[in-house]
Amino acid sequence: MRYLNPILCVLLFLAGLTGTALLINHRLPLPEILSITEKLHWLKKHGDQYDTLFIGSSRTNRHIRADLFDQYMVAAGHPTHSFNLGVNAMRPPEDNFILEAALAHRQKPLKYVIVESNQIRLDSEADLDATTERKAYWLDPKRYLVIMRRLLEMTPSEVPSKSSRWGMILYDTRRFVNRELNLGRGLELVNAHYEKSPKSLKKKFSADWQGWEYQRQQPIKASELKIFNARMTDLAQTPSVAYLGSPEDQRQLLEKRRLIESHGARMIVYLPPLAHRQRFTPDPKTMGDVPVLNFWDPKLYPEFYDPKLLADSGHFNDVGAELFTKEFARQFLELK
Amino acid sequence: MLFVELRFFLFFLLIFGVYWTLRSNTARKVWILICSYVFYSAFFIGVGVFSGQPLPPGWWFPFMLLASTAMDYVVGLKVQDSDETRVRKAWMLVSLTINIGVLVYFKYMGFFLESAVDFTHWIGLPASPSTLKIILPVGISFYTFQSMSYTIEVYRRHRAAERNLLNLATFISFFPQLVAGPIVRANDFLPQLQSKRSWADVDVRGALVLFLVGFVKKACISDSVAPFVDQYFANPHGYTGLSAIIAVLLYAVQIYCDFSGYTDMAIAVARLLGYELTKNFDFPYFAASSTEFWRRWHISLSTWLRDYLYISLGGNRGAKAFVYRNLMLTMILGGLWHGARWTFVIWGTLHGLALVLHREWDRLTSQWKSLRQTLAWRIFATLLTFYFVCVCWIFFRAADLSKPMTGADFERAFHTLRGFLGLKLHSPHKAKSLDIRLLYVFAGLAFIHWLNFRRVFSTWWRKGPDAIFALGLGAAVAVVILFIPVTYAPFIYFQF
Repeated sequence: MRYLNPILCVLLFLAGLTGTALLINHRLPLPEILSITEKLHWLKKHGDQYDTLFIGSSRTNRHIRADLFDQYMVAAGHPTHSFNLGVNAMRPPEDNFILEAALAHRQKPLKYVIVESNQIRLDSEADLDATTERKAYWLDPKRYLVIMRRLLEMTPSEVPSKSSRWGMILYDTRRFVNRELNLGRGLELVNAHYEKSPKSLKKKFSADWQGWEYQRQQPIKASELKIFNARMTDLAQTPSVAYLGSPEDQRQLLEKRRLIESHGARMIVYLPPLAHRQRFTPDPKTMGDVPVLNFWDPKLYPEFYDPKLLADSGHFNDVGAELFTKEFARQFLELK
Repeated sequence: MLFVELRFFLFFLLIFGVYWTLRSNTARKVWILICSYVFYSAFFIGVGVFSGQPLPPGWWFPFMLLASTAMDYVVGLKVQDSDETRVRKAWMLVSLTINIGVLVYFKYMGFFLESAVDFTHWIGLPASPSTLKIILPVGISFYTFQSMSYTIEVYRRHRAAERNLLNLATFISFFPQLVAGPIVRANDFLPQLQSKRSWADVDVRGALVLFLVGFVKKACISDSVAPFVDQYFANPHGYTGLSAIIAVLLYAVQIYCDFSGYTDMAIAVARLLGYELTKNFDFPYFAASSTEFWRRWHISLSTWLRDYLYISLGGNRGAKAFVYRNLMLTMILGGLWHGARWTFVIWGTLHGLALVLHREWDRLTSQWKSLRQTLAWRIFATLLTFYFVCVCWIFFRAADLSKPMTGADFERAFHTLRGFLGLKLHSPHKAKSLDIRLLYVFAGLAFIHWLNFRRVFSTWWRKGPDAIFALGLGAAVAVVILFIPVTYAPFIYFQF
């Protein structure tokens, strides 16, 4: 009985803290994050005009020209109006978060969602600080559990060299708590109250904006070419193998499928052309009936492994993107 | 390890939990002592040492604290046990020489050498511009002053020497006040260590609210205005005159919230362990004179300077000129205590002059007592005092402590002073300006501070059941977290 009052007070303190944080969280706008917020705001407003979505990393964002894709579809008698929801460095579970957010406001059914096949992103603290702090927006309770499950099922060889499993768990937990407690987001709340439209909506886009981004043709840098050539040599010695990833990686694909099908659309997975040894593919046991377009083979698609079409070791330039979109559309039409 | 960091909260939870579980007072003091040294070491030694990284340059500073404690323990006993004034004085001088010597070496050696080089260069003699690279141990100014006060008190027979080394070591190294004060007096703190603290006597609500208030001051207010101030002082020449006014006003907010916020948290942390620390701030910006300002600002330092320096110099005794000399010397040394910079000397001198002028003014206008008691007069005097304090802050802030002392410190100060006094009417072409809306922020903060000064917030949260208080505190913390800038600036007073 002596400790009852202090324990009750601690519990009530935590209840007050989390309750208020949740209330505030509900009122907070999506943080302004380059290229993500603008796409989501755009889809919230104009989403119903599109019937096809592409989602994935920079490989999707820069490799698929949605306007060209639509032109090929019209020419083949299967018109589509597509939007490229690719975001640089976006992988599961961030893409699931984005997809949920993009579909949340739709009134009309979708036709297709084309998903880039990717594994869950596991970052060490050093990686994140050097590249992106995007977890601040997508690490919600659902995604946090995904990351935790993935970290716990991680094999010792998957642990990044400068990190540890527990270090990563602690790091992500800290990011999650910061997000849930809305650390440092007071000014956004104040601005949201006074500003009628967020910055991302003030940016002018033409009415037919389709979200894709391209890199102008220019000679690939020598350092990038060296990386690419090394990978190609490696791949010539040992061809790439299909790899199912971890159970959580497959669960993320399955979750996407459920979400896409709940909007009346068909899911199509594609594997972009990459010079990596392991290509992550959907498990035929659970995703057997989902079509997979596989471009990950230098023998079958030598043109996609031509350095002239590359902007860097992992991305096409605009000429490469056009060529890839054409081939993609051709194979897509074959599916139909 | 800063009070506003998550690792401090976890560290304190451990200290707090173990402390109140221990039954004996000695065990508690040993626990506090260990934790204080761990806390202090955390400023110099990171977790990297556990993964085989070499020890950083300041790894031995905690041993210096230990040595200083041991020396004062021995000196205290020697002073106590001797009946001969000469011997007692000699022992006290040993303590003062060592304490001041250490302080001078770490804090002022570079300054003296640089000034000597500048002087020899100025009179045309060849001078080597080499300077010593000495790392300043965090909190050295605070704990040496604390140790000295103990020895002086024993010498003056104001208290008996502490025969229990554990008590003295805990007093000197007590972690809440170790690195940035308040400078606690032996007479105030050592008696608290004699008896076991009782949880029933702890004002938990008061301590939690005080901690939250200190946290808001430091993490939400001071750290939020700091980037604007830093931006301005990095290049005052590139800003308009109005920006100088905004920057100086914001700096007044920053330094007050930073230092008094730290003190509030230190007092609250100590209070949660059952100890009471000295009050350090009492709404200094509502002072109606310079004299009153020093009764309200950094109280533990100003009273230390009064009791151990001003009075030792002769205090109020003797001719007027002699008294004013004592005042000026005390304030100049008070300025130098903050750091080895001529700008700090100017800051101290200005405050010294203001104290002298205020005394004279008091004497000359003694027959105007009724006028001076009116509200209008009080408001006028408060605004004037605040304006003067801001002028002094310009010199305080102008020094870039991360770099060696140069003429740029003065240039920054005088340029800002011109802007603040309204003498910089023409700004250079393409001069940048700080957002004028920052003045509204300043006005808002000043209004809240005034409400607090009028005790509007002082008691209502004490009413009502504990459950409601806990729930409300949780909600308040959630709101506070919203306004914490994602990175923390170190406490300003850690540098002194």
